[in-house]
This record gives sequence, C-alpha cells and structure tokens, in this order.
Amino acid sequence: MSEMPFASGSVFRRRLMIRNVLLQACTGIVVALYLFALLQLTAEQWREFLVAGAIFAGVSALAEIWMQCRIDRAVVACIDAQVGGAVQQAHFRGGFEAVMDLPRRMVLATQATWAIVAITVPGWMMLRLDDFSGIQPILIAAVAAMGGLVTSIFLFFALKRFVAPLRDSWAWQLGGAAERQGLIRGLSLFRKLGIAVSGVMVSTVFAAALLSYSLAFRPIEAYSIRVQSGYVGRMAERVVGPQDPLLDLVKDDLDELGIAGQLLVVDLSSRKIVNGPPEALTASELRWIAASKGDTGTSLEIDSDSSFAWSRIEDDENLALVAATPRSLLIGDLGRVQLVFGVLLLVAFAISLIAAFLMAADVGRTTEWLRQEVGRIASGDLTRGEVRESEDELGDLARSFEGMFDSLRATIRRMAEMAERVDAEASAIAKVGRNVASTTVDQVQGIKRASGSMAAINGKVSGIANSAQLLNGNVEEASSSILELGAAGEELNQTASSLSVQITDVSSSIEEMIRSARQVSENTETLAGAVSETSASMAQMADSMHQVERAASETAGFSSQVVVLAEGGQERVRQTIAGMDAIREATGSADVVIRGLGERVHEIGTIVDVIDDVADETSLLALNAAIIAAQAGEQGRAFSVVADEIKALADRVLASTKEISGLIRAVQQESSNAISAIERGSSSVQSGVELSAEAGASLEEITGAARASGVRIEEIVQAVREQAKDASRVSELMGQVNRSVEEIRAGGHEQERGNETVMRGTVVMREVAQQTHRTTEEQARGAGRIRDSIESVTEAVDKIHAALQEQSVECRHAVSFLEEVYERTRSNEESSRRMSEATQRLQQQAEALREDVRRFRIE
Amino acid sequence: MTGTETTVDLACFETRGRVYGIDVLQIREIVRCQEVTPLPRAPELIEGVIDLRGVVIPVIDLGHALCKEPADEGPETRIAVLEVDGMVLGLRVDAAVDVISVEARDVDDPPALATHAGYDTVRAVVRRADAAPVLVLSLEHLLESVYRSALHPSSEAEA
Repeated sequence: MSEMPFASGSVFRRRLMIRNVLLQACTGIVVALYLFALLQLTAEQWREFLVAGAIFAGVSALAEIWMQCRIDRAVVACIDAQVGGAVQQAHFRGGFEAVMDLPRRMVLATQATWAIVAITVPGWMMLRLDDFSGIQPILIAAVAAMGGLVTSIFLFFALKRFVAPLRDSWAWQLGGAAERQGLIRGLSLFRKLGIAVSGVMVSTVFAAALLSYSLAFRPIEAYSIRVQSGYVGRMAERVVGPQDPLLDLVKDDLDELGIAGQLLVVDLSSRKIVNGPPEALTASELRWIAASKGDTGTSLEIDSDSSFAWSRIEDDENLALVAATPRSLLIGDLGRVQLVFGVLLLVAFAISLIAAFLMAADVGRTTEWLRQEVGRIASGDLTRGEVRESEDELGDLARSFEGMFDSLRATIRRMAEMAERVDAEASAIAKVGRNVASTTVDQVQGIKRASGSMAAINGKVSGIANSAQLLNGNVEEASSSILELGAAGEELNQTASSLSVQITDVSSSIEEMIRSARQVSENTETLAGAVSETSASMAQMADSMHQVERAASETAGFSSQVVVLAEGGQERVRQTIAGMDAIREATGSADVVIRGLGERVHEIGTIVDVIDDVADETSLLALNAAIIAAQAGEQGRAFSVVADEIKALADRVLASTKEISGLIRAVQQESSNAISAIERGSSSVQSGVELSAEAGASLEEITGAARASGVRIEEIVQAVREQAKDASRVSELMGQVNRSVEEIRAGGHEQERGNETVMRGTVVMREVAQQTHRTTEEQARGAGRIRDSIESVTEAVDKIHAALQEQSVECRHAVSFLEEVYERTRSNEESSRRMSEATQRLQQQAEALREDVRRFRIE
Repeated sequence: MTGTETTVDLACFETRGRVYGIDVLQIREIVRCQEVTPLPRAPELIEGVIDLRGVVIPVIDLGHALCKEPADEGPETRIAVLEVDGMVLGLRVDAAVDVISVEARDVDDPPALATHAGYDTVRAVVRRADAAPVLVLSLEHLLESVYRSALHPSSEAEA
C-alpha cells in the first residue's frame, strides 16, 4: 500500500481549493483580455463591466467554494479516518465513491457558476446603462460561457490527476473489481473524447470567428471616418453657426460625394442636436463627444451604432460639426459576407463535431470491444469471440490481449484434461479402498466370533478338568479299597490253609468279603458314571473345536480376499505410475527432439552466415568490376551491365539471408517455448506419480497386514486340529477305561456267585476248603486284574488331566492369537480408513479442480 | 552519339547516413576494411596505414574528415583505394553503395553562395529522380584539408 498523500482532510480540501481557484482565475483573466480585444466600450461601460465582473465573479467564487465543500465532504471524512487510524470499510466505500465522482461534480459546479456569470454580468450592464444593447451583451455572455466550457474540460483532467493517488489507493483497499463497479458512475470514453474534443474545437472556432468578425469591420470604418474627419475639419473653419445657410450646401455636397450620411451641429453644453434629425446620435455618443477634450475627434475609439467624426466650430466653441454615417450604411453589402461567414462558421462547427465524433467512435469502438471481451472471460467464457483490428495502441493492446487469451485457453484445456485423469484415478482408488474397508469390517466380525467360541471352549475345558479331578479322587479311593481287598485275600488264603481249625470264623470272614465285594461294585459303578461323564464332555469339546476350526477357516478366507483386492488396487496404482512414466518418457523424447531441432537450426544459421559472407564478397567484387568497367569507358558498358546484375543478385541473396536469420530466431524462440511447456507438463506428471505412490504405499500396508492375519489364522487352525487329535485320543482312552470298568463289574458278579457257593458248601468242608482255596486264588487273580484296571484307569485319568491342561494352554494361546489378529485387523481398519480419507481428499481436490476448470467455457 | 561526352560514372559511398560520389577514374579498387595501424604523431585526419598486397598506403576516414565524427566500423565498412595527384591513398567509408552513370544535365555546381565564400569540399551535386542528391567530392580539397590538419591541428579540432 502506498503512503497517504495528504496529511489530513483539510490539507486535501485546501489544495483542491487552490487548484480550482487558480484555474478559474486564469480563465477569468483570459476571458477579460479577450473581451478587451473584442469590444470597444466607453470608459463608463468598462467601469460597469469591471464592477459587475468583480461582484458576480466574487459571489460565484464563494458559491463554488461552498459547493466544493459539499462535494468533497466524504473524501475529507475518509482521509481523516485513515490518518486517525479508525478507518472502516464503509469509509472507504463512501470516500471512493465521492473521489471517483469528484471531477464530474466539480465540472458541473464550474459550468453552473460560469453560466451565472454569463447571465448576470451583461444583465447588470444592461440595467445600469441605457444605451448598452445589441451585439455587445450577447458577445460577453457567449465568451463567458465558452470560457466556462473550456475551463471545465481542463478542470476535469486536472482534478482527475490530482485525486489519482487517493482514488487508486482506496480502490486497492476495497479489493474486488465487482464491488467497485457498483460505486462508479460510468462515463464512456466515447462521450469523454467527444465532449473534450468538440468543446475545445467549437470554442476555438467560435472565438476566432467572433474576433475576426469584429475586426473585419474596423478598416472600413477607419477609412470612412478619415474622409469624414478631413471634410468636417475644413468645414468647421467656414461655418459660423447652427443656422448658417452654408450648412445646406455642405449637406448636399456630402450626400453627392458619398462622404457621410448626415451632417449635424451639436450643442456641447446642452448635449443636443441643434441642426439635423435629433435621433441621429444616441445619448451616450453625444455624451462621449461632449466629454472629449480636443477640438476634433472620431468614433474609432468606441463601439457605437454610427461612425462619425466631429470638429468644434471655430467661431463658437460650444458648437461642434458632426458628420455621421449609420453602421448599417457602411456595412452595406457586408450583410451578404456575414451570411457566407455564418454559413462557413456552421460548416466549421459541423466538421469539428464530426471529427470529434469520428475520433471518439474510433477509440470507443475498440475499447468497448476490449471491455466486452474481458467481461466475457471474467465470467468464464473462453470461447474465441469476434476480432477487432485497429492500427493504434488500442489495436496492439487488443492483439496482445488475444494472444494472452489464446495461451490461457490452452492452459485451461490442459488443466481440464489433467483434472479428468486425476479424478478417474481417484475414483478407482476410492473403489478399491471401499472394498478393503468392507472386507476389514467383515474380518473384525469373524475374529470376534472366533474369540467368543474360544472363550466357550476354555470354559468347557475347565469343566472337564474339574470332572477329571473328581474322577482321579474316585480312582484313588478305588485303589485303596483294592489294596485293602488284596490284604483280605491274603488273609483269606491263610485262613483257608488252616480252614479245618478255624471253620467257625469262615462265615464271618465270608460276610466281610461280601461286604468288601459290594463296596468294590459300588465303587465301580461310580467309576463308570465318571467315565461316561468324561466321555460326553469330550464329545462336546470335539464339537466346539470343529466350530473353532470353521470360524478360523472362514476368517482365513476373508483375509485372503483382502489380499487379492489390495493387490488389485496396487496393480492399478502400478499401471497409473507406468502411464505417468510413459508420459514422462514421451515428453523427454519430445524435449530431445526439440533440442535437436534447435541444434539443426543453429547449424543452418552457420551455413547462412557463410552464404552471407560469400554474397558480401560477391557484391564487393561486382562493385570493383563495375568501377573497372566504367574506367574502360564505352568498351566496358556491356561488362558493367553484367557486374550490376551480379551485384543485384548478391544483394538479393543478402536480403534473403537476413530473412532466414529472422526465421531462425523465431524458430529458436518457439522451441524454447515448447521446452518450457514440456517442463510444466513434466512437473504435473511428477505430482501425479507422487500421489499414486502414496496410494500404493497405503495398499502395500493393507496387503502386509492381511497376509500376517492369514498366517495367524492358519496357526490357529493348526493348533485346533492338534487339539482335536488329542481329544480323540482322550476319547479312545476313556473307552478303554469303560471296558475295564465293565470287566470289574463282571468280576464282582462272579465273586458274588462264588460267595453263595461258599455259603451253600460250608457243609462240605474239604470240598469247600479246596473250593475256597481255588476261589481265593481266583479272587487274588481278580484283585490283580482289578488293580491292573485301576492302574490303567489312573493312568488314563492322568493322561486326560495332562491333555486337558495342554488343551487349556492351547486355548489360551488361541485366545491370545485371536486378540493379536483382532489388533491387526483393527490396525488394518485404521489404515484402510486413512487410505479412504486420503482418497476422499484426492477426490475432493480433483472435483474442486474440475469445478474450477468447468467455470471456463473453452469450446 | 555523344553519350561518352554527356555521361559521368560515379562510385557512390555512404558515410554517416549520406551518399557521396567519387569519379570512378580516381578509384583503383574497393577493398574490405582491414585493421588500420595508427601512425604516431601523424596529421589528425590520417587514421594510419594499411598493407595493401605489399604496398603500404595511408588511410583517411571520410566520416572523420567531413563530419568530425569518430569512425564506427561495421560489417559494411569499406576502404576505397584512390589515386589523387599521383598519390595513392585509402578512404574509409561506411558502405560502398553502387556505381552509377549520370547524365551531364543532371550535374549541378554547388550553390554559388557557398563557392563564392571559398567552399570547395563538394565539386558538384548530382540530382537523382528517386533519391536524395549525390554530393561529388573534390578529392584534391580533401588532401588539402589533410595538410591543413597537419599545419593547424588545434584549429581543426576546434572547428
């Protein structure tokens, strides 16, 4: 922003006033001088003129100063606000509007004041002077009006220049051209030029015409008065009084000779005509004659209706002899001349007006076209409009504007193509991004489901572990009972060997044995129950594991889908980059070709230089040959013709080489233009490649994450399969346990039956004893089998327990894997969201770019 | 026919934008401008000497001699080798234009007003229909001004 050109509003007002008053004063002086040259007024009339001029010019000046203070009020307020630092947009708007309109309003004010002066000054003089009439007041009014017109034209341009710094500075502050447009009262170039040129021309023609008209009459008048004066001077010596009969003779003489229209005798003291028609001279003419000091005088010094010469009569000092001729008589045929003059004046008016009109129209036509074209382009219409040509600077401006407009159109077109391409790429990337996002969401849900299933498995496994613990306790209990049984069997064996002596104790021992056997049977039942419970739990567990496996393989399917989509996206990006590379390569080769072209052109230039040298040399040789031919005289004439032709030929070659040099320079300029255009294209391609690489990196991240999650899921599936294998082994073992339990049960029944036989066979002692012995042996074998079974049960239970613990560990692993997968997927989601955002941004930018470009209509 | 008596052959040279003519009979040849070796303490108008195929001849610059403007060498600059009063010298000009044949009736004397005042730089003025007149130089006077520049170097420089 430029410095404030005025220290305060009052400084601006003072300077404006000084300029205005100085210019008006200059015009006043020029008008007054012109009137002095034009008019021949009496002293009295001049006095009234000066008085009226002083009064009305002073009043008008005051009125104009008052008007100026009203016109510049907004400007002064804005300057004060700006200097005080409290300036607001409203101030700028008001100030700008006022400062733009200031020259026009000041011109109107000036014209108004001069119009007042033009009316009031002659009016005042006509009121004050009874003999002031005819052409003189009209002349004063016309000259004052012309002065006002010319001053206002100068004032307009002077003020426009004066307020220019303020105007431009405020326009800058206001900013937008559209906003300023509303504040400006338009004045077309056509009208401005028309008023200025025609005003100056018309006033010049008019002023010259007035002056020439007024001065043309003077020589005629002067000649006539000289004749009158000589005659009257001679007669004044002879005439003795107003009634001298000689006067009649003199009158006839004057009439016949054509010296004057009338001869009068005037009484100087009473200012009356004592001989002759009383209205032959006006009162002011009589007054003027009476006031003169000398003995003779003429009307050459004043403007009057008649031309006259007078001389005091020698015998009576109070009387004067006057020869007067009416102006109309003197002018005579001058009336026709005046008519011709008036017609010529009108023709000059018309020519000046037409010239002004033509000039203004010539300038106005091109500027109007320029204004329309600029408006059209500003509104975004870039189509090629009509063309206007002119030979002046406006034509140059129009042509350079057209050139600028062409390059703008080319740029916009290129920009539109780029925007289309970027937009298409962005929407492709966005599609891929959306696929990735939806897949990721699916993956997250699958993982959540898998996680839930794993938690259920974990609960089930811990239930099984509890059952196994219980089973273990029971088995231990069974084991201790079996040990007890073993001891009882041992004891029975010893008792059976001494059966004969302790037969009475047998019964109780047998009962005890039966009780033990029943206990065994009960324990076995419990065992069987525990085993089937374990078995059921195992089946449930196997089901859960299948579920886990299914969920895991579903997840694996999703993640491989993600990988495929992401790889598709990457392929697109790679294609984009490859396309961009192809463009870059093509522009690079174009660059190389153009540079090669430049070198060729340069080589052509060197060849042209050589041709130039040869032609120059030829020209010189031809000149020398011409000289020698001329020296040879008549004999050399023929040779001189040849030499001249050779020289002409060489000169033509020189002219051609100059033209070629110009063409070469143009080609070099064009190729450097093309190279810079290619460089601009390259940078656009570079930015496209960077964007694509960014999208590619995002896709790479997604692919990596999806692959990692696939691997994790595979691991889970593997673990679950192993677990299922273990579970089926547990199931198998449990079947074995079950079979052993059945055997135990069968053994128990057998023992019961043996016991009954013992009970029945106690009467047959020996048999019984033997039988007992056999039975006890059998029993010992059964106990051993039981122990074995129990041991295998224990082993199986231990295995179950171990397997369950393993399973529990695996479950925990699986859970932690799933958590990891979940985290990964979340991060996938995050990056796909980031990518989606980036793509959206890209799309928005592309859309905005396209929107910008769409504003321009190119075709 | 009386063609031989009524035509004059002139070689036209351009110097400082004006065209001057020299009678072809006084010209030996026209050569390209070559580097002029200045002669120390030589008369002011003698620019120096050149070696013209083994003969050393003095060189005068026409622009310097006529207009007192320093020489400005260009691609068109030529040296016209002249023979005046049996003396061979080179005259450097801005360009060699043409050789023209003029009718005697187209040749005027310089204005009497000038010749009466002792002016003799231009011997004749040749009118041409389509261009400015050609001023035919008096080479004898040119040599005289070279001698004068040797005698009154200061007054020449001031003038």
